Amino acid sequence: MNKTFPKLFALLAGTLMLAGCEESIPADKRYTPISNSKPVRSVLVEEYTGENCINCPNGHVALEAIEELYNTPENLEQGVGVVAVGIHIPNWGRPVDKGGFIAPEAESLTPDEVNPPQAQVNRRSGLLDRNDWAKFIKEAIATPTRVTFVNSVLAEQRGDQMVISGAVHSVENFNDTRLHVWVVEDNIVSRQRQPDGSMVADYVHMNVFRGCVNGVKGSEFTLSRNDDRRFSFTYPIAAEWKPENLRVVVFVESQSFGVMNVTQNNLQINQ
Amino acid sequence: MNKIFTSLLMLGAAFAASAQNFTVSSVDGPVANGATLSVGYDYNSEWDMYDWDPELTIHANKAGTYTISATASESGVVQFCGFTGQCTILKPSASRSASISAGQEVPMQLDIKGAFELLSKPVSLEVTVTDGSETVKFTVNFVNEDRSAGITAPAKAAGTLRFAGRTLNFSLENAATFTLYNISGRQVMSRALNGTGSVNLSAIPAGVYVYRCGTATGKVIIK
Repeated sequence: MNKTFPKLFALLAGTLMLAGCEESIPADKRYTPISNSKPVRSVLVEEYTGENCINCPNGHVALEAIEELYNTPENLEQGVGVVAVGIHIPNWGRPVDKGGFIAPEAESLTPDEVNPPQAQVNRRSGLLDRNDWAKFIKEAIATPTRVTFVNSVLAEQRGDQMVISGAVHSVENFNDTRLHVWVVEDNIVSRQRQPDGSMVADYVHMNVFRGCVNGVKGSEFTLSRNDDRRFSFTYPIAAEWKPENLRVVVFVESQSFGVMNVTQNNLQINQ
Repeated sequence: MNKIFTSLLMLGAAFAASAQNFTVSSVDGPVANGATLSVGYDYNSEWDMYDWDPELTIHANKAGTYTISATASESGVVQFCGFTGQCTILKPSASRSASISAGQEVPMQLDIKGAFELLSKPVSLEVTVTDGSETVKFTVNFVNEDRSAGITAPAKAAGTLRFAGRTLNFSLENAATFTLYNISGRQVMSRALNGTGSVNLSAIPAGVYVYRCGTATGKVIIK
């Protein structure tokens, strides 16, 4: 009798706990990220930078080292990696119409009181100084996600437009998610203020944010359990961009969990 | 007796100088407590932009935690990139602290760089540097005067220096030594000037330089 009672009690308590979970936690709140040590996903790093910011080249070097660490062919094949976007922010360079990199959306994407070079990881870390990037990225990249991209996002040039399409799979219901599609350009040779205060003309800028395909707030993008949700966008290629240097960054952001997953793909050029 | 007195005085002065925990300097030399500096702009035609850079540095004679506090008369104009590795725009004030080793020279990076146009009005910057026991307060006035077009006021009375491309044209009332330094402070050229003439600067690599001619100093961009 003494042995039977604890077993019955445990069974009853377990049943009550499970029933309680089913009714009290909304479906879109069930996902609880738990970090482990192995990289398992991709993370978005929004770096706030500027051509005229003397400390920013140090930020670029730090981020490149982190990208090299995680963006190995093996990791990328598994959908794991660091997706870096350098947002050139007002006060630290020239706007696009003066030949600079401050995109029209940059002001809306710039957090208050940002002191470049700073960065946000998955829109959950808050503003981080350069020395803290590696630690937060290591943690974020090892945090499992319930949202994945189905195959690769396709980004194709069609004349002076690009056509972007893809699909997102979720293993939970999420009704507070939004989809963001951004254009980024690499290998732009232009000026950059150096840490010694001098200006060099032939600095190679990577990860330069060029524009939001679907607005700074993205598109509403609710996700259903075990379902694939497709998306498709068309966006103009500006005359000053080099199509061969463009890539498209797509990420799913949840109000509750920040950036749930991110992917990037080079623009496929039509000869 | 006079010699002993003079020696004692010099020893006292040397002791007083070495007793300073730190010194602040600008492109024009040491900055005294209570000083007011006037800083003109350098125009970069290639980038079509203006820089006002007093090149303020702290030289620590004693290791310690140093704090810079700066307040500008205009919000959103002066940038502060020293000490922390991050850059900020003064709106209108900021304060930063950092540990500095004895003998270390640290740039404050308090300046106006990359402006697309001249200042709508002069901007004044109040700066306080302290290590907790000593304090140096000074004012920097950023003004709409072209630093690379000529030399600063004290020497104007004694003549003019004008940079035209890679040629320095001078007209001096008294003989003076013209010395050019790179931005690391290394001397790259020195010439004795007298009367009116010109100096060929074609052997000087392109870059930003600081010059001294008699009592006058200034900054020049050689392209």
